Amino acid sequence: MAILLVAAFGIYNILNMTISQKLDDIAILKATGFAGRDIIRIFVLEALIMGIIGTALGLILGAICIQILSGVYVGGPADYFPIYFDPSVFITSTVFGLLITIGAGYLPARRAARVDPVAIFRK
Amino acid sequence: MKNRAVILRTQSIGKFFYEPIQFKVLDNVSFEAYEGEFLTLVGKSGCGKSTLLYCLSTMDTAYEGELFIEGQKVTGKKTDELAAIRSRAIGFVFQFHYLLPEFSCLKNVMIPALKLGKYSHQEVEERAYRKLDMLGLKDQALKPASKLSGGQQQRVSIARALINDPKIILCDEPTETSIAKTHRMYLTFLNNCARRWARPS
Ligand SMILES: Nc1ncnc2c1ncn2[C@@H]1O[C@H](COP(=O)(O)OP(=O)(O)O)[C@@H](O)[C@H]1O
Ligand SMILES: [Mg+2]
Repeated sequence: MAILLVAAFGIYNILNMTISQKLDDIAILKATGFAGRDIIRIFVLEALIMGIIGTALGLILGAICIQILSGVYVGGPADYFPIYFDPSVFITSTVFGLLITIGAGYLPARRAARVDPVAIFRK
Repeated sequence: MKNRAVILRTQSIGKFFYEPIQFKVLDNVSFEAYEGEFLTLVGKSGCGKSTLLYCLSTMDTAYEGELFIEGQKVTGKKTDELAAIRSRAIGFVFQFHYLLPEFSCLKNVMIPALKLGKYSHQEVEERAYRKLDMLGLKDQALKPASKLSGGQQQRVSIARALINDPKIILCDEPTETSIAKTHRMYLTFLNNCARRWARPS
């Protein structure tokens, strides 16, 4: 869970930075008829792409770790490291990961949607 | 001219700037533009030409007075409604080129049309090619916009302004960044556009 929050903060920061670099582009899109919610959609989509890639990598890495760890002999009553594939854990972490991603994308996206094109063009 | 439709009308538009000191840039600006009319606004640098154009473009809403586009009052509309009006009815050529640098010229021209959603992706692409061809840029269509010369970028932005066949084309010193010869060429071109499609700028 804590890892998810850190990841969400990462996405939030990356998106904030992208938006600061793309102020000109955002202004152009708005000038040519894009509404605030179109801009929000673009940046939430970008966050979602990052989130999906991140979640997929996380799941693959998790699966590999489980595979390796479950083969580790620890002796004692357990014999092997007590870890196994639990699909429900994978499903909940995917859902949570994507939900948090959307949240982390939406906040900066809203800022992008409020960019005033005139202020940008006058610079 | 007089029996043509009024496409753009302003009623006593005024605008203040408050920073750093309060002063009135626009004072009681009223005019009408007819369909197909070519209007030029002249004035010395800093007199408020760009400021007026931003008001006319519906991007700047902090003015007094009223603005009518195609007979419809746009003053006081919500920002999303204004965006829809811009998409459908207004093409804007900026003082500086302002293209999306990572996208190809073709994509730059296509984007406002894809947003409008009136034509299919393929039709939009064909129309964008035709506009670029008209401006002598067909061979540059697939290059990223940032790889073009200033004058070429300017022409791409004109093609972009024309893509949705807007009733109104606003140009803010479209020739400021070009040399005298191309200057004449653009004005002639834009004037012809106005005649052919009956669109004022
Ligand atoms: N954001 C702003 N805040 C205060 N004054 C401004 C702002 N933008 C422009 N001005 C002033 O408004 C006047 C008109 O500017 P502008 O419309 O850009 O002139 P131009 O006719 O050269 O296009 C100028 O005197 C400029 O200094
Ligand atoms: Mg100006």
